[in-house]
Amino acid sequence: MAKYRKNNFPYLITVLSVVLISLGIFISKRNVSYSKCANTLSCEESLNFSINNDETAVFNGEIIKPPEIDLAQIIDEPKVLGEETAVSDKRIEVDLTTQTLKAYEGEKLYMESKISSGKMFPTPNGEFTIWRKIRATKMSGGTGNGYYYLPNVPYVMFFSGSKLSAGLGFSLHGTYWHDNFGHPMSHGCVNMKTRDAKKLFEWVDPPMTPEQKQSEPGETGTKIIIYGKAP
Amino acid sequence: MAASGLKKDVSVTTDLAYDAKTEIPFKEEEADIISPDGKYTLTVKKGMELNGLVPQSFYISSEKDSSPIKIFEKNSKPENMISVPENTFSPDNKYIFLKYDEQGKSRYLVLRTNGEEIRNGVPTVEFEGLFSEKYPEFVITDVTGWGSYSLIVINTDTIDGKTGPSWWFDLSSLTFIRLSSRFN
Repeated sequence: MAKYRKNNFPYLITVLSVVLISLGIFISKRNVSYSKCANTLSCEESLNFSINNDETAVFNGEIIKPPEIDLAQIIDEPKVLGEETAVSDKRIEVDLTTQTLKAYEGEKLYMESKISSGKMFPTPNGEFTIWRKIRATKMSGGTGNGYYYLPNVPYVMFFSGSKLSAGLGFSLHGTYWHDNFGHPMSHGCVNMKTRDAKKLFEWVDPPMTPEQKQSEPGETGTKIIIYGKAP
Repeated sequence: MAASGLKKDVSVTTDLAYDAKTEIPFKEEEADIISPDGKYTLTVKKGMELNGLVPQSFYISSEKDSSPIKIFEKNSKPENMISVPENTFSPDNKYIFLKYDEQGKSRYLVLRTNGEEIRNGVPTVEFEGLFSEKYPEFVITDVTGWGSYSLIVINTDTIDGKTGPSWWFDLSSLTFIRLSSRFN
């Protein structure tokens, strides 16, 4: 009997290990829906304001010139920190099935536009809030033919939620490198036509600080609801 | 703007509806299509039908130069008129592509927005003809937009009706690149 117990000890250890590992994976999948950064090479960098007018961009194997951004010419962002005190009733709805964004204030439709959601990686479903917006940043990621390097990404509105960490860098933003809206194209973010992104950027909360054209990190902003399944 | 197709200021809430309408051949006198960055405007003017043909003229204006330049014109039968696809502008606004039907096929025409030739001696490029000649085993089912500054996104089926691959039409080399993933 003693021999029997000794021979089965490694087996019990193995079974126990498998159970513990499986339990760990199950718990982590329940609590963290997304652990992959939206822009794998610039996850932290893309969260910060930056303008790089002298750099070239790379997308789908093409070297392209990003539109220059001149902050001195930005005079029309109407809402800055401290100007708006009323409780916001704004929300954004993104339907991945139809690749459409709608923005509402109460029941009133403010705008509607085609978007491009994640193709290489899915755009997450759920309820989120905009935690920061910045006038421009740099995004990069991918490998091989999928490598991309995009300075001067305009009108970036980062969102996060209970199952989507702010540090993962998912956002709505303007897009100068493709014009294929209505079809998935991105690495997880919500691509918008730049003119639509500008209109939304100037409308959503949180408000911006006037000197840096960005909001303070961590402020609670406009709610975003993302639903459906990308084609 | 969406409902009538007449030239008016862009309405915020009807922007999407307007874009969708541009897939339909124009029935009104004039319509504007704004580029994704808002800096360029394509204006399409339709004249009165004469001898069974309808004249269409295409103009480009920009933030920097608001006086429109004519980049293209064509007389077509009413059933073959040119329409403007939703994602017509290249991301850098240097090109547009247009769509028309001919002999039961959808044809796609690329133009420069500055009115110049695509290449020396080549004013426009019609790429459905190039594609079907090169790849007769596939048929173009949709052209959705631009994958980058000179790459047009094409979806195809096989000639026996099965779902085919997506392709880039590379405007810089006038060649087609077969893709491993499909753009739906």
